[in-house]
Amino acid sequence: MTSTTTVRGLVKQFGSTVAVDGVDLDLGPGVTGLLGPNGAGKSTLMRMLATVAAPDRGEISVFGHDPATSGGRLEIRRRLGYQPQEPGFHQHFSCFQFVDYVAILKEWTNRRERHDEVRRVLGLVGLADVSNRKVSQLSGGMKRRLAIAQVMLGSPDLLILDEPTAGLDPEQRLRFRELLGSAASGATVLLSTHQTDDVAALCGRVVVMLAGSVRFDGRPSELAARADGSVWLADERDERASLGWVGGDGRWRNIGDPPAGTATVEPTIEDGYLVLTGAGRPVTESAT
Amino acid sequence: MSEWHIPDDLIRRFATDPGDVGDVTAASIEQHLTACRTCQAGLAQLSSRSELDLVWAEVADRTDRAGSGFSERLLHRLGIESASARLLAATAALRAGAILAVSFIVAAVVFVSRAADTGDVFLVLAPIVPTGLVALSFAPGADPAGECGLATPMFGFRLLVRRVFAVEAVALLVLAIGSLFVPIDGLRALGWLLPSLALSLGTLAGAARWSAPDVSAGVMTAWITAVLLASSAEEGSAIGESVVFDPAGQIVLALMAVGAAVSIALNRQTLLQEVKS
Repeated sequence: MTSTTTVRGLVKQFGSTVAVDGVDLDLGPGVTGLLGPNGAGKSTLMRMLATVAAPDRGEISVFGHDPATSGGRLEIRRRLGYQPQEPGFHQHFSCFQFVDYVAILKEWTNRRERHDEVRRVLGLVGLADVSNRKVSQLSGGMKRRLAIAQVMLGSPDLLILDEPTAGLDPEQRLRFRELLGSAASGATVLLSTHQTDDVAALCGRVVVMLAGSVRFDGRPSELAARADGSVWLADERDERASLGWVGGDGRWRNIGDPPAGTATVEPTIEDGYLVLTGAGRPVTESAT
Repeated sequence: MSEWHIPDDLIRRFATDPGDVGDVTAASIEQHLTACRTCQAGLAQLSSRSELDLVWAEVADRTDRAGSGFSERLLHRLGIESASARLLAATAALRAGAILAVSFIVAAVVFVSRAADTGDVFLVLAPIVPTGLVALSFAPGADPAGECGLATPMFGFRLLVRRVFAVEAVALLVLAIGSLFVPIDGLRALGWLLPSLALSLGTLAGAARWSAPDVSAGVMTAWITAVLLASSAEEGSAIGESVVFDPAGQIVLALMAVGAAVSIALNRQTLLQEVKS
């Protein structure tokens, strides 16, 4: 893999809390999923890569540029599309005006080209018909799509997307997958999400963060394999399972230490993630 | 995309002279043209390159202005290019509501000054107005776009300076108009100008170390205390005749403003971090 983005020994603290604790990471073209529970340090890592927060220690290189220097930040921002976890909006702007505003900040100086680009990205996220509607009148899902639209301005080489599918309905999530699959072709994409099916659908690689550190870095199938032999179906909640839930077929999906002789089933990415984070760890392992 | 297309006769008249079809129809055509490739191609066939560019420029201009706020339209009318006007108008302190509030406060101060038949109230309170506005425009979250804007190439010290300069200009303009109605004679009627610059630049300089609202509160308190102390030191004299508004006092304030400006320039990277946090 050709690395476009390199992170070495990255540390970020807020008071006594270590949000990111010595992260090493290499990112290249393609979609990398970033999983982890709330507070794992995903957003802090993404904010540092997006040049809106500075690390306390460690090094970042994006397309060979160092965000610690003003010249490096400028070059990175010229090739970056960033959607923060809590995107802010000018409520009094229309959709068109808001994306136009961000396009101006992204140095689109030619007005006609800028307007064409604004219309293009609004069309990509399905907001062309409401381009003159005030942001304050948009639903939560529409605002998410508006935030995605500004990311797509200029087809950036690096996309950092912090939970872009949160608040989207199923159809919109599928459209987002389609959009990311086509519009972000060839780009380096870091996608933070709590939706493991988004990872399965979009990502060739997945990184799991826990307590500020990278605990897994590999293919989605390798993450799923972490739960090999730990998932079984039963008619009731098994006391040997550390986690279990009823599926649509009425059967319990148990994760943990299966009883001897029980046939286990093929694990999913979600199962592997739960085992990795400890939520679905076998009981015998948890006790050690 | 709509299946309706602009009739040939209508698009021909529009291409020749957009004003010929009437404002409402022209606006509808422009709206339709922004989304319809077929009609764009039709218009292109009817127009020479230069004419087409002119039409597109007009369409872009109208699209830009459509629904834009009072501040943005005002800045545009003042000759500021549309992109810059949009960047400046996005500042909370330059929104119509903020300008209206400032105008109301200045009008109230002028009213009190006239009722008391003295310019002292105006001289003491006027410098607080731009100081508060600068704090408002520089405080974290002043740009609602937040990190969507921060992660762009245009975000930087120059943008901040442009916004603060615009805010300061608006405040000083409102104060200058207000000062025309205040009962003060001679150059002392401009005695608020240098304190305004010193206090607002001091607020910005202090924001590199503390939060802008906290700094502005401290600076305002220090200003009022200093003026009252200077006035009380000269028994029987009005505030407007105290040393603060003498040439010596004004020179000191000018030096303070210059010192604050130098500090801002030296601490620009820290100030940018303050906006981010």
